[in-house]
Amino acid sequence: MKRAAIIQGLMTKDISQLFRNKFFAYMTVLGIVLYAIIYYVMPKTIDETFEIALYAPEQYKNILQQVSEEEGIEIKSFESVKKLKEGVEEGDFNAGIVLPEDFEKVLLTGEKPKVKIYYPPDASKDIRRGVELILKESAFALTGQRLPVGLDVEVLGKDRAGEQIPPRDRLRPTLIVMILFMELWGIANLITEETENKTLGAILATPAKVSDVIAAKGAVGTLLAFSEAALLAFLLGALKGNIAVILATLLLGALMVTGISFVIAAFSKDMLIATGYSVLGLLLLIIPAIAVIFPGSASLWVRIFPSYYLVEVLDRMVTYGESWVGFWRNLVILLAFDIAVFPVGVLLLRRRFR
Amino acid sequence: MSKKRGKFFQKILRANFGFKSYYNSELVNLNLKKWEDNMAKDAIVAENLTYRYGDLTAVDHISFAVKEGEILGFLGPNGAGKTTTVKVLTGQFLPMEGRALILGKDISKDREEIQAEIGVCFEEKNLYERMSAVENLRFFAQLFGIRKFDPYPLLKKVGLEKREKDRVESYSKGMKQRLMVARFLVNSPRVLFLDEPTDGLDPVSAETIRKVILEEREKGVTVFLTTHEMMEADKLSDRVAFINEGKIAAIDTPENLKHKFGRRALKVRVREKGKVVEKELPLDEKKVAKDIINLFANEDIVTVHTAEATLEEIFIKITGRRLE
Repeated sequence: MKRAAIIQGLMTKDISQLFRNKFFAYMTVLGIVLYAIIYYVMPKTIDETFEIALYAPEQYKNILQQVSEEEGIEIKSFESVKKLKEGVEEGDFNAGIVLPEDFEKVLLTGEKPKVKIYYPPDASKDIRRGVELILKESAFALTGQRLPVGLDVEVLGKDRAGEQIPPRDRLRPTLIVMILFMELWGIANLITEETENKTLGAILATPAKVSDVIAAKGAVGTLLAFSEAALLAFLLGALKGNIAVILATLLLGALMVTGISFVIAAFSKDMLIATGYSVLGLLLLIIPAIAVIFPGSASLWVRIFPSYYLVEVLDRMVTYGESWVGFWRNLVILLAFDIAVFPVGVLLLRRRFR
Repeated sequence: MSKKRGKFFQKILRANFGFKSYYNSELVNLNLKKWEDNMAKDAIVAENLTYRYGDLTAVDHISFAVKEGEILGFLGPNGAGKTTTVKVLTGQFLPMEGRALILGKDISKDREEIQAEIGVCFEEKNLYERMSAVENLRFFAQLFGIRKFDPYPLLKKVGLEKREKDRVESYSKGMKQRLMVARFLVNSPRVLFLDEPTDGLDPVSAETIRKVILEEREKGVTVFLTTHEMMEADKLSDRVAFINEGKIAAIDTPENLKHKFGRRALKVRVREKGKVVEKELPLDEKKVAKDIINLFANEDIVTVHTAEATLEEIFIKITGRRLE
């Protein structure tokens, strides 16, 4: 009971100290407001402009180019199928069309040459219909009759036809984790300020212990990071579906941020160094969140960041409304990271405080 | 004195000194009271206290005791080990060797209990500057587990009652130090540890702090005062200890130290052939009376005053170092 009263006193003081730090207060409020504005200012509709990647024998390139210009479609020619597929998968094009090298030869034999069409995961049905229309128009331009070709369609990645995501919704998990990661700075500075201004000595000359101070900082840090992220998630309409799991994921993220900020504070002699380390940490942790905005750009190495597992769960649940069941491993990895980083942070902080 | 404790003491006497049925119970109780009084008088006891920073021994096997209600001035130059001693005695650092007893409790074992009964004033101004004086005091009262705490009498005591709701960052250095003084009184401590409390302060703030220290002493509070201000130590302390390179070089009352290590003299300025010259008559020599009579009879005296060794001079004499 006595310990609880001490920790409660320390927490109240910490929250008051944080929000009386003008820079922190402005950054927090501005962050939430600004991210909400960014979200609502971005278009909520999908851009239906056609951009098609093309791999075709030289003689057909110009004809297809001509047809597409008439239809207001942009076509980019590729020299290899591999590069075309990469471009389509990364979402740079609405579709990729590959005409085989022996297209004309097969056509002259009276057989149906196979035209390969690649779509990115979120290509809409309208786009698919549009691509087929282009092919028909092109066939008419080539032969004056309907082109006798077989279409071989392949969706690169998971087929998400009919569930296209407007850019602002794609950005939503990124904005939420950004406000979460901003707390790295807040918590690390709160701790460093205590050692730099020597107020820690005054606290430790009372019945309060180092463990009370660390417990209070951990609780305040986690509470603030979680509350801010949850508030922004609410404002952006991200709290839908399995809300409990989304909140639990945000809580795991908040614990991760607090644990890392403990480590940062343990190595920071002053607030300037703490700020530098926090910005570096923020930039590293944000990488997986940026990758979400550009589907297909995330490589395997991104998985070394613990934030990847947080961002992926949020993205799948919030953006695509998927069940957490498919991502339970991510939650376990996040929990394991929190369990590992927290004791390390506490240990380093104890050493620093002494 | 309870009968039970009296009987316990009688039992000890019988066992150790052969007292049997013929002991005088009044005498026994009187002795027991004296024994208890003596035991209770030491509020701070340091025995072979040692603390090191790596290879540097900051506090080197020091031993001393401070009685209840006594002010001990702990004097030494910067880096002598004063602040480290305070940190060990207040439980911020644990002794590496030896032990420290505060109010009869071992700091290594009963840190929390001891800290509830002591007040510490740090050399650095470690206040929460974005909080007001009232908020600072209430926060520390909460750490001491004080539920109903009224900060206003303390603020009045240190002259901050009119600025109590202003943020501390707007205070002058003297006001901050006075708030530090109010802070160390939050838990009505029985022992105070003050680390350079008036260092660099304006005369008004310094005087307010000295007044508070003396008031606390009047209440029976023990004060451990570290300083390198000799005048202050001389004014406030019942006894002073000189610390140099982590060791105690001397410990006694200022008067005794001056008597042991200083010299008493009469400084007389006389006019000789149109010039003023100073002459010194040592007061501890046997023929001093005769010399004084001769001087007054034969010389044209301009001024006369006594010269007493200062604590600083004594410190230099003992340690060979200046207090700075």
